[in-house]
Amino acid sequence: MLLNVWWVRLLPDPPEYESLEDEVDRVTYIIGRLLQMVPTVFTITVLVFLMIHLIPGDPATIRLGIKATEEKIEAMTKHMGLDKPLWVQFGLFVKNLLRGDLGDSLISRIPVMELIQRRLPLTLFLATYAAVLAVTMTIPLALLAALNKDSFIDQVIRTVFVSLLSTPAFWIGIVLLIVLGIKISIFPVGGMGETFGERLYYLFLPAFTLSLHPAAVLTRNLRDGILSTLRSEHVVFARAKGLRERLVLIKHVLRNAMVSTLTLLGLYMSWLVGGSVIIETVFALPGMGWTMVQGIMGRDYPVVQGLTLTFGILVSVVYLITDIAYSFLDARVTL
Amino acid sequence: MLSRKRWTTVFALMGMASMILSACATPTPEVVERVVTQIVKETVVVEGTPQVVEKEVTRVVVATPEPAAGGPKRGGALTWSRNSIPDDLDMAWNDANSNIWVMVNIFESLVRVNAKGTDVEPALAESWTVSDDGLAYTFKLRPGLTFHDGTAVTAEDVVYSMQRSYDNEGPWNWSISNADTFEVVDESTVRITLKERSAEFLAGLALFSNGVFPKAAYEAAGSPEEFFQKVLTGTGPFMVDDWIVGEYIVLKKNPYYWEMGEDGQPLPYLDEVKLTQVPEDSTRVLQVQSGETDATDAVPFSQVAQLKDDSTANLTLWPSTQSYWIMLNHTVPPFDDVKIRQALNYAADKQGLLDAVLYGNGEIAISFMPKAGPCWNPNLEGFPYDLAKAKQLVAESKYPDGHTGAKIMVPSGRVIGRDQATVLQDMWSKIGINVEVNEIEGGLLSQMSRNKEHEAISGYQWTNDVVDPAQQAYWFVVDPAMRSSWVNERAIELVEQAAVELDPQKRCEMYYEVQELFNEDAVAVLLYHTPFTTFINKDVKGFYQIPLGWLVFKQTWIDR
Repeated sequence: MLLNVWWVRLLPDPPEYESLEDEVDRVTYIIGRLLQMVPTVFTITVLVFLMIHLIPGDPATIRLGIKATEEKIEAMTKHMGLDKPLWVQFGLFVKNLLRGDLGDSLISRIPVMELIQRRLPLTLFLATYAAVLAVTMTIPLALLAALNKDSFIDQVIRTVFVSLLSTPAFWIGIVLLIVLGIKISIFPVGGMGETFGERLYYLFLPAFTLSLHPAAVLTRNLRDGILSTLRSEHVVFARAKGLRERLVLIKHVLRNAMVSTLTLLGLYMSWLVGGSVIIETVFALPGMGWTMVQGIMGRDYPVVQGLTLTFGILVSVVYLITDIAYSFLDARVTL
Repeated sequence: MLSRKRWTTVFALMGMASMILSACATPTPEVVERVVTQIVKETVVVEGTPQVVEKEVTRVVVATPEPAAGGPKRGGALTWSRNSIPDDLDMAWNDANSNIWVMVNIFESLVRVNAKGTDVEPALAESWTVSDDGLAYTFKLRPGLTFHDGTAVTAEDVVYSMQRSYDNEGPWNWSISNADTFEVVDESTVRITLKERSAEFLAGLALFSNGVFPKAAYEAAGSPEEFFQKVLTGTGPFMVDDWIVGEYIVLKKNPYYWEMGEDGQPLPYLDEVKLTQVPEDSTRVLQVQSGETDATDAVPFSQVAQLKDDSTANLTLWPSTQSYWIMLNHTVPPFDDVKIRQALNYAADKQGLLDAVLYGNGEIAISFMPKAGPCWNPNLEGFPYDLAKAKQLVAESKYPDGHTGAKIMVPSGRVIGRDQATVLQDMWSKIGINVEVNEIEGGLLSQMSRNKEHEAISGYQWTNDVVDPAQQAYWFVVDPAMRSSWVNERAIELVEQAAVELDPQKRCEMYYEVQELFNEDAVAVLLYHTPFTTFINKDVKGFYQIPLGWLVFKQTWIDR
């Protein structure tokens, strides 16, 4: 009964003490944070440029494999445009970057921007889908566990999630593929669909696999949050006022308990993007993760730089959103 | 990013998952098997005493395209999942099997490698003559040859394509660098004159990098990138319809193809072949079993035994020129002593390795040259497992008390490389050579071996690109000599002489001697030759993979 209503109510309904001043503060804060992102992202870019160029193993040698002779490696280095001094290459990189050009892949010669435009939506979709699935599992399960503390159901939820935490995601992925893709055959093995509906269906198994780990941690965290909030004075007071239990749980307990869970979710969003590397490999999904792995293994400098920059921006944006969402949930947080 | 350790775990668990999977497969007795298991009696020498033992041996039986009753059906689209699909189709510059093995369906040269991978045969040229001095090759083009775009193939296009192949400095221009001039004799005749006589010229000409493309379309494209990414006009049985690097490539039937099928109509039988990139081995196999895709290749050997009884698809092992060995750096102790290198060879129980690492799928190597390639020396003894002899060699060496601390380096993630290193570590410890196994990131290790900073390397393998021993002999003996620092004047001289010797018999004898010298000096630890694996839906017929690895789709058809 509880499970149907709570979360529609959770979202809107701003606190009464919001004022115009708060709004202005918030906008200033967001602009400030956005500006702060610029040096952060630039630093990431420079570091990545240097790191990827300075680690041993050059693209031409890797590309030519064991059959390479010195002469051919030199020719390939030139062909890839890597015969210029490092500082010249860096200058070119920054110059192009300022014009919004991330360069071309050393191997396929495809513009990196094009590659990102193609691969990013899938990874974002997958990460968001997994986050939604994780939250959808977390809230009812955490409530169930907290409200039935130490009961059989609480024990079951905790045990299941602890075992999930200790099982690698790719293994779960393969088992799900075998069981639901081959044996029962209700989900496709690979592919990602065309329409939004198809995407939801095709990407369910990978998103579900990806969501299990965060769901386990978030449930655990939210359960503890709810338990400690339940003991706090304002809840006792709300109950004493005679508020209905459902209202107490939603407005006073869940909302407060959600604050730390939300922070965790924010952190997990970047984990989800990173975690997609393995999931994309197991489920044969051409996303950012797989592209990144290929790029690093082949020392495809422009690809690695472009992708890292994108990841850097993504993570900064997610943290910003988390901070903003935070202020809506917790009145004590001023921006 | 995953740490090396984590990847190791990933692969180990993938293996577990595949075992669970295969346990569920339903066996059917009528499956065409190409792996034969027999019990054979064999004499082995254990600690100096010969003993007769019974062994279960798995043999690879040569697989050839099976003619189907009722003849091939036309039409349909074949779907194929691959570890990686082409990422570059510029024939002069790309250097990955994932490109080469597919590109041969799009571009063709004057000559090509036959289906058994043993010799060259006519392709765009229907015939050729060689001048008495062996320098001038005159090729007669087939009448009515057409490019994918419907324009006629002219002698000028051929000369233009050859010239580009010659002019660039890419990894493959050795295949044609011996040419001196390319001439248009008439509309349908081309003459190539060589600088010096060459036995490998035709084999080199058959290389994908010497494919023919239309001069007009190439120049109209404006740049090689534009042409080899978007235009891609050749003469092969298939043409590129859609291609997203890292995702898929769709090959469409070339309606103008010159070669005829069994029904007297032009090949190919299929309307379309779609290759999709699915990096994970287990997922590709699952896709074939679920019917999501028709076929896959590069099935891990660990799954071969289970999949050969699969009810949906046929597991086939194709003879290949692929060989595995352990590279040794002769400047690093104890590999600087030939006796130690010989001892390491004798102490490696190859059959044991073959069973443990490749699950019996392969053949013990007695030479660095592949058995499925030309001029393989059948008279070599190789290094049969002989622990007593190995111990004796160690005792006679610079390191009579053995040696501890040398490293076998493995490019991380290469399961076969890691497994064989681990087994060898144990085998070699019995003769007092104690090595460490180090997994090193692949890119870093190639750099290290280039700078000769490596010690022993496990996990590299070789596949021939041409049907001629010259390319391989050069790499193993002359430059970079397996990056071993091995210098043997006689062997180098033989390789150089063989390159210009036109008498096939004499030439092979030279290569025989090169192989003997290689074994005498125990340049590397020879291990085995491994087959290629494909796992293809039972409805798909007529596909074959040649020993050089090419995936040949032109005679493939679907019986549905």
